[in-house]
Amino acid sequence: MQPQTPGSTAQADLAYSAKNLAVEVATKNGPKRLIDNLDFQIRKGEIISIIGTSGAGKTTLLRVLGGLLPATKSSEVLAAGKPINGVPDKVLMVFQDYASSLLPWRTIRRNVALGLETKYKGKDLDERVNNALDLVGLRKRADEYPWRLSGGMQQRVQIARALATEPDVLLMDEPFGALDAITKTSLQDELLKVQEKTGATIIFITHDVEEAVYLGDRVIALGGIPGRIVDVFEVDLPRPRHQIQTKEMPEFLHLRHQAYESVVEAELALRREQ
Amino acid sequence: MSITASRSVKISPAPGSKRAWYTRFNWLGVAGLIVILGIWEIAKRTGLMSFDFIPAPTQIFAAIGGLVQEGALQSAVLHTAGVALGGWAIAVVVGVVIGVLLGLSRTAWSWTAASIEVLRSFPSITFVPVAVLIFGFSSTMELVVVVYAATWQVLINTLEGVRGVKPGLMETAQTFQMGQMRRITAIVLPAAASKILVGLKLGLNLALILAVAAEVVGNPAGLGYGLTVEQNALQPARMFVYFISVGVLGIILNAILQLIIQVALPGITAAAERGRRS
Repeated sequence: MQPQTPGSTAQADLAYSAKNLAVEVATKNGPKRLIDNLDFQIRKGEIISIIGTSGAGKTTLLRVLGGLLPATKSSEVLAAGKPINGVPDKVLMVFQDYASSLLPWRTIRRNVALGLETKYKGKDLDERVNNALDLVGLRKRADEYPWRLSGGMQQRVQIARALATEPDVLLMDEPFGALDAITKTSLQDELLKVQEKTGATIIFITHDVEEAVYLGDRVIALGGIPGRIVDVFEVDLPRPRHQIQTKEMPEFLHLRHQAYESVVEAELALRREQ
Repeated sequence: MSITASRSVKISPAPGSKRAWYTRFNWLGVAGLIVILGIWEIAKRTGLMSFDFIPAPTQIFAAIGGLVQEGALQSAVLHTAGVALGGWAIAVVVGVVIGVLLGLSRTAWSWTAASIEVLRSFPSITFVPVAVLIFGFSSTMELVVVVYAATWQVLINTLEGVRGVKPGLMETAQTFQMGQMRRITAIVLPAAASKILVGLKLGLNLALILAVAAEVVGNPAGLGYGLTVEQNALQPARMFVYFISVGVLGIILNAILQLIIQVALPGITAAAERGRRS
């Protein structure tokens, strides 16, 4: 399967485009390739789920897109049409480990203000922070410290902190991976609602295939070491999605089946190689 | 690090928040102290304790009056407190700046690590005679010794604090595109704050210790000098007044620092409180 976006999308409509994206890190035994030869395009406003076997470079890919890790020189990676050099403008990472990425000495309000306080002051700042807190339903808890909140709420704070800066792109590394099933589904729906309101592009890593299909417009499956794109699934399910109805649709079940198969196959291939 | 949903709403009030001061005060501790003083007094008066140069508590209290009237005690306290605090303040600035620099810069650390490891293992007090030789019997000598000793405490603790900042916080700083200065003020310093505060407290204690030591050995001023003068004059009651003043000064300086920290840095205090609980 060719991992290409169908149709010819104009460069201006692309949040990311990557040609021959590879990442190498230096080790004692010389350079080691973590991901190799990825080609993809991501349209603005798209929700992309990334699944794959462990070691396939999901997080590595996200860190490249977030400007935290450089790709090899031969890679051609553009964020909003510009080559990535450092963190691209209006791109924000949301980390899985919310507990260590929120600032424990700041109240929730001041955590959410983190990305705003150099630009806005006083009432303007308060209003933006309140709006972001409203998006995730945490305004009432604004003056508490994050570690007094449950895990799900802390992750919402992190999402609000990212949203407050009105990002064009949210890069999320297994953001719901550490949460229980119920909290997870409610946060999935909140995320979809927020995306509908803001139109942000979301690139989302998960190890949960069902979550990948439920959230995504497309699911990209990585596999192998170094990681490559093994499959891309178009998810043509109607929006807004619904935890029960959507998940009972034959197309959903079919896609979930295919995506599972893809991950399992990649896993088996990996074991054969080893 | 697991924080569950059940532990969300009410948490007992932070210590010292709403309780009245008189219930927070350790009255039993004061009572214990009075009992000890009483036993001391009785032991001295009945001759159970036969050391000639240990005065009874009442004699010490009597000596305070004399020293205050002469003005000796006030000027000694002011001198020692002034040098200890002034030296400590310099040490805080120097120690935090260098500590942050070494904590963040791998290059700076590689160049200095060996020297720091060697120098920090010397007890600061061994430098007092060296300082006397270089700077003479002067307040400059006293200040240098105090700054030197306190700087180590602040520097080492700041360094450890900065190196202990969680990678998650540094990545947060990165994704929010913080510049170097903002990264330091918004992330590194607050994240390292509880460690830095430990350094501040230890530094303040050591500043007082070294100030007194320098006064005993070399600088003719302050509480340490008063202590030696009265010792040589065979005036135990007056000597004990200086002796006790050093202790009281230490307690007061610590209490003031603690208060400033709690008022000025509520978030840090709350986060540190949480660290102690979990």
